[in-house]
Amino acid sequence: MAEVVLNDVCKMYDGGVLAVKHVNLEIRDREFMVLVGPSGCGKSTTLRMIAGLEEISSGTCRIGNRIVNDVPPKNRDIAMVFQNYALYPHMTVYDNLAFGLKLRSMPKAEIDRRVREAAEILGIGDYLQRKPKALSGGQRQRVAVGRAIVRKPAVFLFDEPLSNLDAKMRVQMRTEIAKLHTRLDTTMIYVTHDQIEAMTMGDRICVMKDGVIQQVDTPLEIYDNPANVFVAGFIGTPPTNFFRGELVETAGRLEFRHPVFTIPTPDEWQSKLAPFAGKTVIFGIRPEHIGSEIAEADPGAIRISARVEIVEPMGAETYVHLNTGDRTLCVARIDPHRKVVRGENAALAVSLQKSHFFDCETEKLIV
Amino acid sequence: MAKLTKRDYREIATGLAFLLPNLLGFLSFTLIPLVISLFMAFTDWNLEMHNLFQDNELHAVGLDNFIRLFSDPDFFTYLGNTLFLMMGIPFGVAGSLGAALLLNNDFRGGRTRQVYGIVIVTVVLTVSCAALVLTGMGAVAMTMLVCGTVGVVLLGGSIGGQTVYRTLFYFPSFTAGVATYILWKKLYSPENGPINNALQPVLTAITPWFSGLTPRMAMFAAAAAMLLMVLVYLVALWRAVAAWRNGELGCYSLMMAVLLLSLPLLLCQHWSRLSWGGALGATGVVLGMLVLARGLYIGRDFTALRDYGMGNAVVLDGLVMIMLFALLGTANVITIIPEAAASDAGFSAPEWLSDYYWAKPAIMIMGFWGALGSKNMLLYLAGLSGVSRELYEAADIDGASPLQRFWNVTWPQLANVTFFILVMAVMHGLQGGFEMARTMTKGGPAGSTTTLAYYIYTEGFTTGNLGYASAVAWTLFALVFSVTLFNWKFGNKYTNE
Amino acid sequence: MTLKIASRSLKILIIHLVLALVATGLVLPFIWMVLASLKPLDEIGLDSWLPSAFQWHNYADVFSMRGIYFGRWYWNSIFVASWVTFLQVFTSSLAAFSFSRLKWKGRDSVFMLYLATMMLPGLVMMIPNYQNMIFLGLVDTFQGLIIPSAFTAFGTFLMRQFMMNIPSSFDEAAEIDGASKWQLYWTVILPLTRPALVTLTIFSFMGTYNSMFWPLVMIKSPELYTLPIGMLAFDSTQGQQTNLLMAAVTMSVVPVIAIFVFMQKQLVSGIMLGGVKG
Repeated sequence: MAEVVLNDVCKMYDGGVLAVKHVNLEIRDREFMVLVGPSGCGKSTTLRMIAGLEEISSGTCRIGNRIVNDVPPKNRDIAMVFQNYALYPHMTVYDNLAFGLKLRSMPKAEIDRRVREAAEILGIGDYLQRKPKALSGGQRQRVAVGRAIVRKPAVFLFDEPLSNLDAKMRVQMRTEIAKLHTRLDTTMIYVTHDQIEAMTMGDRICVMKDGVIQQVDTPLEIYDNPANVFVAGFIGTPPTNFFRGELVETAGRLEFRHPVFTIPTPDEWQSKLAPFAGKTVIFGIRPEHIGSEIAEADPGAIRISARVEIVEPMGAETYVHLNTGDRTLCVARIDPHRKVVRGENAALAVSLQKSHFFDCETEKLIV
Repeated sequence: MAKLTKRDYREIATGLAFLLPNLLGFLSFTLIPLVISLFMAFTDWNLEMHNLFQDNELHAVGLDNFIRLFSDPDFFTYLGNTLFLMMGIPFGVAGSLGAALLLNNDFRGGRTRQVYGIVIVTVVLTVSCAALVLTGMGAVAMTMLVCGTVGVVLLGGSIGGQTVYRTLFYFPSFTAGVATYILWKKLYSPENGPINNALQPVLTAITPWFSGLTPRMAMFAAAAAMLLMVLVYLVALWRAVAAWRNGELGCYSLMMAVLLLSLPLLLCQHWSRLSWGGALGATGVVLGMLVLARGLYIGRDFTALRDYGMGNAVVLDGLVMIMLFALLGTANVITIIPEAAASDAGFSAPEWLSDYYWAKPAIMIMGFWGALGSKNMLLYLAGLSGVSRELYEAADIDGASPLQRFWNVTWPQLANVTFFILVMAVMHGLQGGFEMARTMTKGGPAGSTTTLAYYIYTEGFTTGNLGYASAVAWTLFALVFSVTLFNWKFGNKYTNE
Repeated sequence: MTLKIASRSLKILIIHLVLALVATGLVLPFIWMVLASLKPLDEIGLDSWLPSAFQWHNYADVFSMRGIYFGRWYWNSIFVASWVTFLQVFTSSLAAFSFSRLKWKGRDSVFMLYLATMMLPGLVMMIPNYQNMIFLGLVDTFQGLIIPSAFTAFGTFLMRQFMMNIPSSFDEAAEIDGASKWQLYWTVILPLTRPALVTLTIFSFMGTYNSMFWPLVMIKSPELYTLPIGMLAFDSTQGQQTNLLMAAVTMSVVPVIAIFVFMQKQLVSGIMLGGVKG
């Protein structure tokens, strides 16, 4: 059991490329932390620095009470699950699980006990004598997790462990790993590029982009209050709709003026928006706040009318792409039974409660 | 260079520790000898006079060894021999490509496969029985033997498919070594070797056909063949230059083409019984250079950053090379026909390894035997299996004939394999010929099969002129190195055409 | 439809015939070799390839010829080839491990140096190496044959090519599992490279078994001859006894053929590995 603290960590590759920039991150004991971001955002590098597979160029990494910058991976009390599982193909499942323990010269009986325990947790007891080649993707995935479990490490590291699985298996393993976290009650750090995995699994999520942490918070907080345009766009499908427009003061209130439409801003936001009067800002609103049942029920909602370009019925809901001029489309997530016809105008309620304004220059959240 | 950190040193130490056993050997048996060898090339180091245990003084002789080398007609003869034997490369590569194409066919006959096998064997056995009756008793055993072998091979092939044939094809090259050279020496035995035993009756039988051929006619025929050769050369060169002007060939590809095309003509001198053959070849080359010069004069700027068309240049000119060579051989054979036909005994089979003119072709034939199913065939097979089905299907839908399919789909896809094969073949060819020469001919007759490698051996280890031998070795090295440089420069580019 | 099937069958038949004929042509010399080795000496030059009576004792006779220590040479060849193979595989897998799985400054430059020497004509090194061996007093000894051949740039290259294809996550997993570099090499990487090891073993063994130049230069005493130079001596001293010579040739080719037949698969894949990528 340990916490992991990254303090001003940078990773500079040969040639001067700064892959991770001044990362400060505190992962609490027994927490399930998910690092998420697009490929190349430095999340894997960060994880590998925690594992000790990459050298930390500057800053410190602390696991428990130790600064581990110069501690080799094997002494960091961590275990890692790799994207391609990295199961030794020439060893049986049993030997794969036992390998790390053997290297630590653990007594045979203890190794056997631990391997069987892990196998039981993961339900792979029947395959112990098989070679990895004879296992399905999901089974290999379990073995890879098992290899981490037997070590009883203080910190589990997962490097995109589900991305080699098919969609169905991925959903299943997602819940299994979440269950495992509850059962083992250990610190886990999980890297993924899939924001759904991040949302569903993490106690907290750390969103990264270009080697910089954008926001660290609980999934819902990140969803509801994204720190900036990137986070708002990255988390959630379909992504947040953004509009660029001007804040104009009319009759003592600020209005957001887009070339096609104008939106009045709620009273309680006036003070925060005031410094941006007359400036260009970005207005962001999630699809479910346009035309959905909640939006329609919101008394403060405004109504807009726009031409329906595309209708995508998903079953539980329907995505409607609305033309908002300039060839920009805005996605609304509406009740599947509500009738909208492609090519015609639809009048939809827009609930402003959960919408956001972002500074156009810094892309940071204003309100 | 960044300053090395402690960690760097630790890593280097680990890396070197694993490397150490190999590195030690590498240094002491490759790198250091290399340096010593270079040093030796500038001394009069002689095995008899002074080696490391005697106190005789070693003299630095400067460039003497190299001067001797370049003023030594033997050296150029042997270089010529080496290049001549390398003429077998296009034949061998074409052969192994052909073998691979044949082997790459779809053998799956479904459930009827076994039936085919039985049918085929029956056919063969019937044919062989018929042959038995026709040929009479003399060659009964032989005919049976050969037909029986074909039958067995067919049976094996119809059951085992590609693997059986591939195995048999690969046999000669895999076993190549002193043993097979000795075997071939016996096969080539002029008096009663199996080759001449089989050849002589055929030659005797066809002698009357040529009795009408007068020396004058033969001379004309030979001259015609040689002229045709020069013509083919000029046309091929013309086309290469035109392709370059159109931008289909890069300038290095053009150089390659010129080199490949000119080589057979330059070697005319070497292997022609016709006194004017060499002169004709030289004239051809001069004419060719004029074509080239004209092309360059009205062509584009000769400098080009990126080269292309290498694959085309190599294969087309390789094919033309085969043609040129065939013509040269034909011309040579024609000239000796009338004389032989007029003699009492009629045509007599060549004396192969003991004949000045036939020794090199004999070695090349043996080389072809080994090259057909060599590594190259396996590489081609791998390359062929890598060509995606969709490409062929697309070509079929486009209505390509089998030949067009080969030319537009298969060949471009094999370009990198071909390039690799050729580079390796040229490098080995330059260094080759030692084992054959030592085992089969001792470099003779009259030095006609002495290659550079064998020359180095005799100079260095028989005569003991280590200094001079080193000089020859370094000259050879320079040749090989230029091929390597060529490979490095174009190794990754030849496919981008 | 039937026509199409028929024409396809015909095509297959023709291909089979062509292949069989070519294959027979390629194998004929070997058939002659075996048959000649079974003939009495006076039947060698005859038109017929078949002996009047199979003289199997030719094979036994080879071993009892004066001045031909055939059994000895056989053993020598296998002895030397085995040692060289073992050493080559060992040193080159270690070096390849260093070149592919370890990161250290200067690694790639050293590897380029290795690669460059692969292109060198072996002849250039032979002359100084011979002097080297004289200096070390190893001329006319097995050590002199084995030691200089125990290191191969080609083998290193082959093994490295193979090791480069192993995902680096194995190393990382092993590192986290607590393996030292040696344990990584011995328990993880080496087992994973088994196909390449087998291939290199075959290549090394075959190469040494067939090698002629170096033994020819190094070995002077007939008892120490390896097969190739032994055969050379046989041919030049008692080559007229074609039947016995062919028996010897046959016997010397047998191990090669055996290796080929049993190891064909690994061999073919090895050639691809060393070839296409090289």
